[in-house]
Amino acid sequence: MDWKEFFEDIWDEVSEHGYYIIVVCLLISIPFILAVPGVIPFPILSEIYALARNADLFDANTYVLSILSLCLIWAIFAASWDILSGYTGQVSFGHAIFWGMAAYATFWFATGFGVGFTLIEADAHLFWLPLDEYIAEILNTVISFFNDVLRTLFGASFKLSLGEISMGPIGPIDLSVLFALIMAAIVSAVIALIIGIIALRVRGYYLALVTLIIPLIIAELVVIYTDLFGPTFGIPNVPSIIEVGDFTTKEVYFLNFYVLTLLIFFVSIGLMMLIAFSRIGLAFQSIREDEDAAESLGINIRNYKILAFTVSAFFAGLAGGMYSQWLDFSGKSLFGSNFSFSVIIMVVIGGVGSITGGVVGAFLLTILVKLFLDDIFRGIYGLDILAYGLVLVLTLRYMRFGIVRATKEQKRACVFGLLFALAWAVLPSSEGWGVDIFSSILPKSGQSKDPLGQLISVSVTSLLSLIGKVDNLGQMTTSLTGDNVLTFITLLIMFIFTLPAILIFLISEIVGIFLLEGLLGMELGSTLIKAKFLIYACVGIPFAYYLPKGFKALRLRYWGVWPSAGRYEPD
Amino acid sequence: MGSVMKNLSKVIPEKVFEKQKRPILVLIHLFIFFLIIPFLTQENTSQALQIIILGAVNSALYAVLALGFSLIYGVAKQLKLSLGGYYVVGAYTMYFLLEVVKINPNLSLLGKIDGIILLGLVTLPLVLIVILIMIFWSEFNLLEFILISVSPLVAGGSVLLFGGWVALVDCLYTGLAVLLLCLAAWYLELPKREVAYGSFILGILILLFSIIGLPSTYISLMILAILFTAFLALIIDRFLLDRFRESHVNTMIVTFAMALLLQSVIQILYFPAGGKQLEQFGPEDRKLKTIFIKENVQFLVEFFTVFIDNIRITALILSVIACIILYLFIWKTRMGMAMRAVSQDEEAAALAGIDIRKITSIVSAIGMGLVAMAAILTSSFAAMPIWSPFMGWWVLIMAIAVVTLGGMGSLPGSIIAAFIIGYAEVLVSSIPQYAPYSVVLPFIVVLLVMIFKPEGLVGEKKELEG
Repeated sequence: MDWKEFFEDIWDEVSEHGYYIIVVCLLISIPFILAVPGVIPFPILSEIYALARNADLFDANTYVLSILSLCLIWAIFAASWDILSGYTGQVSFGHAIFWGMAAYATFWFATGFGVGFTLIEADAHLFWLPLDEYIAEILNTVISFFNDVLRTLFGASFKLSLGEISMGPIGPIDLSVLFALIMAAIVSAVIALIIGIIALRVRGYYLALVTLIIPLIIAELVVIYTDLFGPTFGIPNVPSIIEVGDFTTKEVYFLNFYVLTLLIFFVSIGLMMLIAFSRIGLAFQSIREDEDAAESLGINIRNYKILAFTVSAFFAGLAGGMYSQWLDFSGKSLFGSNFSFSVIIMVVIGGVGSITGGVVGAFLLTILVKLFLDDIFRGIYGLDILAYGLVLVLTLRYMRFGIVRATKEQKRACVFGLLFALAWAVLPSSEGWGVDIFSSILPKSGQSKDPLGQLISVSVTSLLSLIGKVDNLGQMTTSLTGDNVLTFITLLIMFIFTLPAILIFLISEIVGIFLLEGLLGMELGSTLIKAKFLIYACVGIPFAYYLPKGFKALRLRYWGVWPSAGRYEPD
Repeated sequence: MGSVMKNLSKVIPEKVFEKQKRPILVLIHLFIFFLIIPFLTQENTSQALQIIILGAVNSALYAVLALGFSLIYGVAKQLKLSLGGYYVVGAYTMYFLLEVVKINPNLSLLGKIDGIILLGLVTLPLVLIVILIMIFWSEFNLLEFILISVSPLVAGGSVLLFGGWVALVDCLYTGLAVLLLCLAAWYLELPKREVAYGSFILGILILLFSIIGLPSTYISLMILAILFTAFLALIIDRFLLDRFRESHVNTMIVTFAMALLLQSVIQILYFPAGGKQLEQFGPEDRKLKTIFIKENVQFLVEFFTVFIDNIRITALILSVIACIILYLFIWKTRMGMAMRAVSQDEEAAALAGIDIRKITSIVSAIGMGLVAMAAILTSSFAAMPIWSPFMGWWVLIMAIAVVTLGGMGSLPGSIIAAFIIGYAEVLVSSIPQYAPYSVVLPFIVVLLVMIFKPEGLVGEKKELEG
């Protein structure tokens, strides 16, 4: 065996999928990184995370865990849209219909239909049609049959405790709710079957418009048929898949929910990838490229289109059921076109026609909005939509084919910008690191969470005082240096060696001070670090992209091809 | 019937008449049908009359909305989902201008940042008027220049004359509206003489309006808001949408994102939770009805024993005027001819020397201007889109419904469809038993049309693929 070749092959494989491997490992090890009680903490990463949380970059563990599970749910939804529209080319502008129907169906199957109706004190309904009763009767017989099957399989109580696995304590999962989730996914697949048969007649624009209108019709029917869909404002209490009462802390509950969502995420994304990379996926892609040519090759377009609709709706329904679990609510708003369009935006940002693109887009947007923007601009409704639109327009301008298919330089710039922002926003402001170092230099940095900003403001005021009064300068310098001259000198050397970083830092600091605090009049407070993190990333990514390019241009201009002598480097 | 058709053939050019014979016939039959139906369903005659008038207003507004949408699709071959965004922009611009006009020049403005903003808003029209006058001086000959520069004087002077010194800001904005309309007409390559005479007639009209007592400021502000929205659409189309012209799906997604952006920007500008400065233009009562229908404007008109707001009547008249102006523009001017050429064959039009980029962006500006007009007229009274920065979605869906029913890109078809849907909505909602279904009914009809007859009622059968 040629070991060298073998290792080279492995290295190629790893370097090609490096980002994916890192992300999967991170997702699995998030409970260890967060250091939830009862779990062994991860050696280095958990300490870095603790530092970041110390500096108010992240919220409490429960919130972070719930947001991460939301990301996973959105990722499943986005990937399901990608199967239908990215691979098969049947652009659906109303994917929320599967999402909303599955949320309702989860409730129906989890409570049993009769229970559901008696639980809800229905409004004085406007219309009474016997149709409702028939539907309810039929569905009730179906669910009672499946309940009987479950009883014979698992005994009288539908609970299965998975016990304590090394990953963390997984509590009892309510199997009837899990069954309801799967049934809801099947229900949405059946609806997709009907829509798919309708959609065979229309193409292009008309398909988009038909799919745009259908969820709106259903959303209006939800209000009219209160017998089937419950009160008009929605159903507030969806039975939980993980039993809340059995746990001592809320943290463990969220951890369990995260682990369950992660399992569902891996299974569904794996299945979708299997479908996409198999012969079926090839058939889908051929339909997208040219329907007539595909038909001439002997591909049954009709069946494959309906199959794409069904598969996509199944996973969308799974995501919708999980979303209603996450939200603990299902209502008319779940049919809204903002859901359909945010999923499209996620996939377009990530990269259309690749399952991973949707996942990347979902993670990026959800984390950006839920962890950062919601907290920074507190109470402004409609900000997430603004962020989605801005990110979409920027991505379509600079990375035409999505983040997944960005060039190597762009990806590197993104990673560098994020790491840079993490380092410069977090480290100076976290206790034990930056705050301790700066407290020796600065007079009042003990209370401040932003010692670097304070340093800049002190130096600016000293400069201003130099213009006005020369006497104040000496006072300022003494207050700057204090007793610790050595620390100051080391800091100075550090600053000189990281000159580009300082430039970015200055730009972002000025942007932060003038834009956020001055112009918008925001009181940043505890969200200061989050805002700074975002600004640093926004300034750092273009900087990291254009700096090497500029350097290369300069080098080619003045030094010729040196130091890479003899190698031709086309731009 | 025959005599009507003969008379129509005199008014409309013969070629057009031959082509559009069927739609016009359908329209006339529909009109008669809708005149009869309410008398059958309603026992009371005055109620039936009310339904007819309300239906006419409703369908006229839908027609204006759908004409904008359909025009863009017909010429630029783009399905602009950003319609809702421009709708909201138009309505809120009008609202902002009305707020600006309320500024009293007697207030002391110094010593405040807000005061500086206010001062800017007052001096901005003055500066713009000077710049525009300079432009017209350099480009037009003396007689035309005199006509153009007299018209804002007449219009603004009449406002000042009847309003007193308090109406100084109204006067400035009225003059600006007249001059900007001139600029827009000139940009649309109308002959200079016509531009000059038109502006003079507009000035005289505003003078007459103020003499009669109609809200002349309201109309000039409406012109300003429409021009602003059209300008925004022009800019966005020129600099952003041009990149995505090849891919239809990308166009749809980007235009939808533009709708999202515009609406949320309006939301953040008008209802900021954290910001301080911008809130000063926020109204005390944010409901629309109290803003648009001022106390001195609102009164009820007795019309064949039926009482209706005068704003509705104004909306009906203005939308009919807009339809006529659009018709004249498309069939009588050079730019309209170019638009028709582009809609028939883009490549051949380019070979004939037509700048397709310019035509498409102008078309989108005209369409969005119509949408803004519909927004200003509808949102002043309609209950249907509840007044909020996110009311655009409903409008978008209604526009799609009307346009697909009539046939994509066909202007007469969209007018007919607007008639059908507008009247059907009013009719269904007038019967209390079926009132909740009036929301869903147009959608279901449109869904069926799209599935079984995708070319619409009057449209031509084309290949429509993404």
